[in-house]
Amino acid sequence: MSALLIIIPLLAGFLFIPFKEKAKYILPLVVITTLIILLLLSPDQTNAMGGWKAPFGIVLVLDSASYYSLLVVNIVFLLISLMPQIVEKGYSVVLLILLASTNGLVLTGDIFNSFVFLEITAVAAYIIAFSRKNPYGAFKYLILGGISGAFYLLGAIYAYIGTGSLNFADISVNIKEGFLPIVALLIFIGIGVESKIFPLAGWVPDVYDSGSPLTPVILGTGVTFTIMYLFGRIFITVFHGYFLDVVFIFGLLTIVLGELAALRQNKLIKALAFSSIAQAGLVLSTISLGGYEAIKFGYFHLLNDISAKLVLFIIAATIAHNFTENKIAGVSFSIASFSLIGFPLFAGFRSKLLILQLAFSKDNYLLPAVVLFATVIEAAYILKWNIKLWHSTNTGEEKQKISWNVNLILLIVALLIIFIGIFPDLYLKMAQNIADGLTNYRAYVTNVLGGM
Amino acid sequence: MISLTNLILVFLIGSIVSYLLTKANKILGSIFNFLLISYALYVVWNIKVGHEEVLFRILRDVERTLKVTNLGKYFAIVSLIVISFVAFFIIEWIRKKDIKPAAFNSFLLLMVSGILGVFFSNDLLTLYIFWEIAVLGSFLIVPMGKKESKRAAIIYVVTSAIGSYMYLFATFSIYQRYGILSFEQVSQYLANDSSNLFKWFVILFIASAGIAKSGIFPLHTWLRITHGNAPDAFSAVLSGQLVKMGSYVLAIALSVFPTTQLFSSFYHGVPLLNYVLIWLGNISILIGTFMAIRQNDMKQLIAFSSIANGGYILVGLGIMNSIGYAGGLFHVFNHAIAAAMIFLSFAAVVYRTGTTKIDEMGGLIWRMPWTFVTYLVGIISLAGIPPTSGFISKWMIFSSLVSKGMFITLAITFIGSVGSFLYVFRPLAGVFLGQLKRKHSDVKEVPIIMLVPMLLFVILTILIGVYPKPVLDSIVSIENEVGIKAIEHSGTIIKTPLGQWNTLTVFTMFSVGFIIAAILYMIFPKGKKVDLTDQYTGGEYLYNYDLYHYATGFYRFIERLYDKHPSFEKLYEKLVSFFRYIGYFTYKLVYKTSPSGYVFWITIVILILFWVRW
Repeated sequence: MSALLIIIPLLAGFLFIPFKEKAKYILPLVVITTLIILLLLSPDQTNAMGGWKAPFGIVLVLDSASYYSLLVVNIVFLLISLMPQIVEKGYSVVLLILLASTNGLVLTGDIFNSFVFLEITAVAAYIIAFSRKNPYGAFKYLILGGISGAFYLLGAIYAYIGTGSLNFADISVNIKEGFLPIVALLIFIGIGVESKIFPLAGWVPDVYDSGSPLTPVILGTGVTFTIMYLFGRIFITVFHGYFLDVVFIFGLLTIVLGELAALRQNKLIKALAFSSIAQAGLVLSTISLGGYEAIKFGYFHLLNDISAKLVLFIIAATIAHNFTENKIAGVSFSIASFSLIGFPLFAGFRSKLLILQLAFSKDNYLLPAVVLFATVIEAAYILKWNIKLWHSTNTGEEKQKISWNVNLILLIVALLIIFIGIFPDLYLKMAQNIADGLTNYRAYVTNVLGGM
Repeated sequence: MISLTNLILVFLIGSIVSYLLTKANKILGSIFNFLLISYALYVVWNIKVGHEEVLFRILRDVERTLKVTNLGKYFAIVSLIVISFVAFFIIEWIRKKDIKPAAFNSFLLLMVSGILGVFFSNDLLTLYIFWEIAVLGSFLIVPMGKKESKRAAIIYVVTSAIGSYMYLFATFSIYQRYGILSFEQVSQYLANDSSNLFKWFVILFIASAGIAKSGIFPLHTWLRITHGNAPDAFSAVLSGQLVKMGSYVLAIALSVFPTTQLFSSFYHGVPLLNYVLIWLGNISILIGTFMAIRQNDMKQLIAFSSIANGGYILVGLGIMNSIGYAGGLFHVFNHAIAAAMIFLSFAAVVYRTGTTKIDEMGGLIWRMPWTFVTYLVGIISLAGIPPTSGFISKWMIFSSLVSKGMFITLAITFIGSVGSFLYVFRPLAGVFLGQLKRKHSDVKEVPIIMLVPMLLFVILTILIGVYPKPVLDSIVSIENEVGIKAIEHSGTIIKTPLGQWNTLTVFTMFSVGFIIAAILYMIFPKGKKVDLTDQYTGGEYLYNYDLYHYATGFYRFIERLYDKHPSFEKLYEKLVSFFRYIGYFTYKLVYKTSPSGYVFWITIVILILFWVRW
């Protein structure tokens, strides 16, 4: 059953290649279908493809972690598909392929298969990122993505040599001690490029600033979440937390340097891209603190971050002139940015508070200090942009009106941010389920390999 | 009686209601705001001390509660008096402003909800939450002012964030170490803690939120630009109320966590930590006073004066003996009222003339006499001249400094006091006295609705100056609450080891003196009124008005002495550009390079990992 989640969007994508213009009508339908299928499925099931049992064949694993990640990713796609204005002509087909590959990336229980889906995701992302205004950014992304893919593949090969299998569960149980460091390093490089870790992710600001709102929105929310899920799956479920201490250091560097780099940007979307980098660093370093709670709070913060970024990126890419003409969009933007900074009453405050408390309870005083320092800088530039957009006087430039459906969705997401700020249980429960699935590796192994 | 939780919720929802009402009708929304804030004042006035409420839970095992203490109630009443008077002033003021009135009114209520929570929260984290709400509300109002206010808002929120994040860091350290957060328990645990370093760290970090907010050196730079450029009526709230939130946190850090019991005495019963803070207060007094003398913008001038007065409050609170602490608390009241009066009178002047530059005005006493009276009484209180209430608090601080033998601090506070005569005289002479400019000849007094709160402030400050019992009574209950020996007073007589002070006698003497002067003024022939150009200088005719305004370079002879003073604003600007440079460097090096640059970084990461790991 869970294979349908990959097949339907993929098939729809290929079928609609001749009718590119019509594809934007089919996109919401496909996403709704996958969501309905997802809701009909129950977690904790493993599907062996082609009847080949694990560890010999490819399996699709639907445990509580992948279930809730799929839910998040598909809801993000649904929201985007309901805003056809931001999808450029002909990109709906690419979005369908991207949906298939992200779903596959979340579901798969096989390291080579995950490489394939990672590459499809990357290819779809290159296409989306490529626009006439910004070919060089997409080209850089292409090169870097190719290199990272090669490293990921090398990691998969070494894992195969070390265990004789490509199955995640099998690798986690049987990998030889000597192979673990090299596999972890190679995969860290491979995923690091996509998950925006500091010196590896040079592509982010150029690609996000591609000129079309779709690129930053989809890459900064749906794809980011998928990659973060993959990161958790590999480094927590498969490697049992090995290598996380290294990730912690890189995460801290990412936070500080990302925020500092954002300070100097004079384009809103680039500043937000750097903020996205820094937040990814925060999520990674929180997860790397280790332990169930850390993973839970890390994904909770990630959920808050993508909710805020969805609003911020759409508005930043469509109207970066002033808010006095578009009050609803302006209010949504401000709410999202307050959440990003972490003012009380907004969602970001809850997750930052929990992360601080957790770090202190682990006697880690570095992370809180770094987070608070970064937040001061973030507050400076995010609020500067808010003031600039609310109080700008020049209305001479072209006035872009946001249509009602985009406004409505943005407002709903903004209200959701406030709702989470007051009653965080909804997101916390999701994060908890993801953390459950990721940390419970014994259940994962028995689930996949069938009680060895 | 409505519960505190509901009161805060009413304000949160009221901010939306106020937005809609003001959208429909500016005046209606402002009246709604005034009524709601006065209602809050009424509730807070009548609330019983010791009243507790459970609010919500965030962290495990910690109940978030609101609790009414004498200290919180005192600060809340002072704040709400100031805000409700200003809200009344706004009813008329907002009519003519081209700011966004709906957003202004709505954010004002949001800020008040935060303020209420701050003064009644029973633990460190609740205080932080409401603190940030108050900062958010006020931050959103500030950029509605003059052109530079956009930058001011950022400086304000960043300085505030530095302070409050240090506070948050200390809060979590406490939570981690003791597992509790309420003020009472924290002070108990701190008293039993053996690590001196930890106690220092906690109290300094908690105090730093107050230092940032009340404009104490080294986080004082935001006051000039923020108070100077915020919307005119809101400057009164900023200086009269928001800065006092900082004093509240300082009072908590110094007295609720009993510093005199936590640390051993360093100098005549004052611990080293308090001594350090007193010195920060001293530096603030010096900076505030000397920089205020230099200003030509009247709002920025009083902003610097707020820095100096924040210093007085900190010096008073830091001494932590019966008279000094009482003086600090009394000064909170006095400065709140005086600063609000002065800023409101400025708002009235700007309302009519449209400028804040002192040398562009003059002679407004003939056109706006009541505004002049407000300003005059305000500065008398600010400078600490009897019979206004400002004198009492300064006198208490002086006498406690004398009794502790802290003569350097005493000298600095005297310099600050004398300096305040100088700087408050500058707007007096430049704006209200002197010759009326031609362009201002048809300026009128502001409408009655704006005059009422201003004159009520005048009455209040003289009344408390003559009969300080209500304020002294609440100070006595606060001192009993935090375990300091309460001051002795009997209505109008304040007793100290160095003697006593009878406000009534002083008032009578001043009244008699005033009457005598008035009689003399009546008896003697009146001076002849002449036009500015109706005179000779060295045989030449005068024909240009503006060139002969003596507010230009008013204190040039003093300013010349410290023209090349070090500027902290510039220092911080350098720090910011340093950070920006690092960011730019990172951006250039890592994010902007060609694909080969990226490959280089990947190689570097692999090499580092190999080097570190194997």
